[in-house]
Amino acid sequence: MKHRFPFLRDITRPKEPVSRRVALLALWTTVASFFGIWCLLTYGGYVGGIFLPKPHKVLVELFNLFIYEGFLLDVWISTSVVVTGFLIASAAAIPLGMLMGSYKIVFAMADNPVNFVRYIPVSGLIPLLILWFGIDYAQKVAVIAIGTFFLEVLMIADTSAAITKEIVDTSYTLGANRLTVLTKVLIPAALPGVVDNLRIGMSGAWTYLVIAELVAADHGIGYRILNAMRGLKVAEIFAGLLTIGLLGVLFAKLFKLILTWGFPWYEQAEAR
Amino acid sequence: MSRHPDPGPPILSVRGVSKEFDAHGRKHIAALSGISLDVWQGEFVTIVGSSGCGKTTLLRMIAGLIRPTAGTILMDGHEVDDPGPERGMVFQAYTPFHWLSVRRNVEFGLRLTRKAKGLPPAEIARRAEEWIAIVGLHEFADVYPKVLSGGMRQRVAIARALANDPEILLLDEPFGALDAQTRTAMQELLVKIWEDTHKTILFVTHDVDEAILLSSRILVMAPHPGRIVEEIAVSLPRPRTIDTLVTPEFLEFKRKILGLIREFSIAGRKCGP
Repeated sequence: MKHRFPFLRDITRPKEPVSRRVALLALWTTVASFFGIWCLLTYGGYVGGIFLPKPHKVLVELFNLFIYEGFLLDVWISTSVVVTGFLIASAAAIPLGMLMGSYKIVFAMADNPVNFVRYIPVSGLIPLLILWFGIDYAQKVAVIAIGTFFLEVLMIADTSAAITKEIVDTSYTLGANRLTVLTKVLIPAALPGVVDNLRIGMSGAWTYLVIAELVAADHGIGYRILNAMRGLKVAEIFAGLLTIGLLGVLFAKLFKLILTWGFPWYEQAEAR
Repeated sequence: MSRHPDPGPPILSVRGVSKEFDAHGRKHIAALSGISLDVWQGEFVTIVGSSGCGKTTLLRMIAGLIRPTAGTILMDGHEVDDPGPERGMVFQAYTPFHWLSVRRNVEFGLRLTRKAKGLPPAEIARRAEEWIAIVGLHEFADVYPKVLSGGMRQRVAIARALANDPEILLLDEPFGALDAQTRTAMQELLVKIWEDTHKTILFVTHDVDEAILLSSRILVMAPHPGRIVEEIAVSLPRPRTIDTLVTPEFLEFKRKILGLIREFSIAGRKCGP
């Protein structure tokens, strides 16, 4: 039977791949509709400028911020806080997560404690972190590191646990011992999955940024956003959020590149 | 092929092995009870039985991956306590290391034991090349497993196990997940390798046809508790082909084995819990 709209039929079939061109078209459809609704609401006069800024005002604000107000320094400071916190978190989460996923004894030791701390909101820890680390750089890094660590560690444990027992057993029957099964099988098998976990960890790190810059900050994107809120400068809030979003896309691309170039053997899942 | 090509002592000897599991609070479920068997150098022995009879558990104990509750397993007169490269194993699940090329997969065991065996790198490469050619994968030597079909992945697993030059090859339903055509091709490949190399093979399957086609000797297992109920020397001439499947001799073996499996599975159900 001939379908009246073969294109519609193809794109509505579950799990069916679409071409690169269609994928790009889909992306621009999303962006254009989002932007279109925004334009309609603001230029159409349905929502006041105090709640939702006109798009061109956000662009002007972005221009002003970068050219006249030294916003690049804020972006640099925030990025360095996020990346430092992320690196500290990952340096701890990768080994602990891999051990939890590989050794039942480590899992028994760490699983419940990790869940216990994970459910404590990081914002609730801020008073304590101020007491321990002061109000400067170290405290901001600590907020991000703690939040990101607990986000990453259980994901990495899951990734390591997903390596099948048959793979491990096979390596034993090929002459591997306790040490070589770890270095030659468990770690290389888990690495690309871990990189993917780090990508999500990095997005988490950015979400903790505004919390980190809530207290006693005098620089940073989060600080700018909070400051703009006090002055009801809604275009500046949007400019800050837009900047964080764009940085997020950039970092996500970076992790995808590491996966594609570093692990050509890995079968990447698309929708994650 | 005579029943014991090598009249000396068996290379593998299982003596009164039992295995109990604790499951669902019901303690000490006997998975295997009083298993004894011998395998001589150069034999192709198959353990056949219905699913749940404990044949995989038995093979994993011989591999040293799990320990028996009672009894001993002797390999070359030494008690099996841990897994070791002299007992290579191929699983039903696909196990090629997906982060390594086919070549590196086949070299894996040799590289691990290189120092102990004093193997020069050139010798490792030569042996890997040889086994890749034997299993018919030379065109795919440098690809990653993600592009290989199920049958090709099992070829990698077989080549990888044999490149390590084990004294016995343990196969746990290695062709169970393959389609019928691929399975036949893989069975023929395995028999050819066995005939060419005189490797000792212990094969586990629930497929009675497969057991008769491949083996020189069959051990029939029954469940509840898992035990060996019959030992059958397969006297059919080789080469055995699809034509063998319809000969009266083949059908006689098949009738006998299927009868045993049916008899004991019904009996097992009657006296089960």
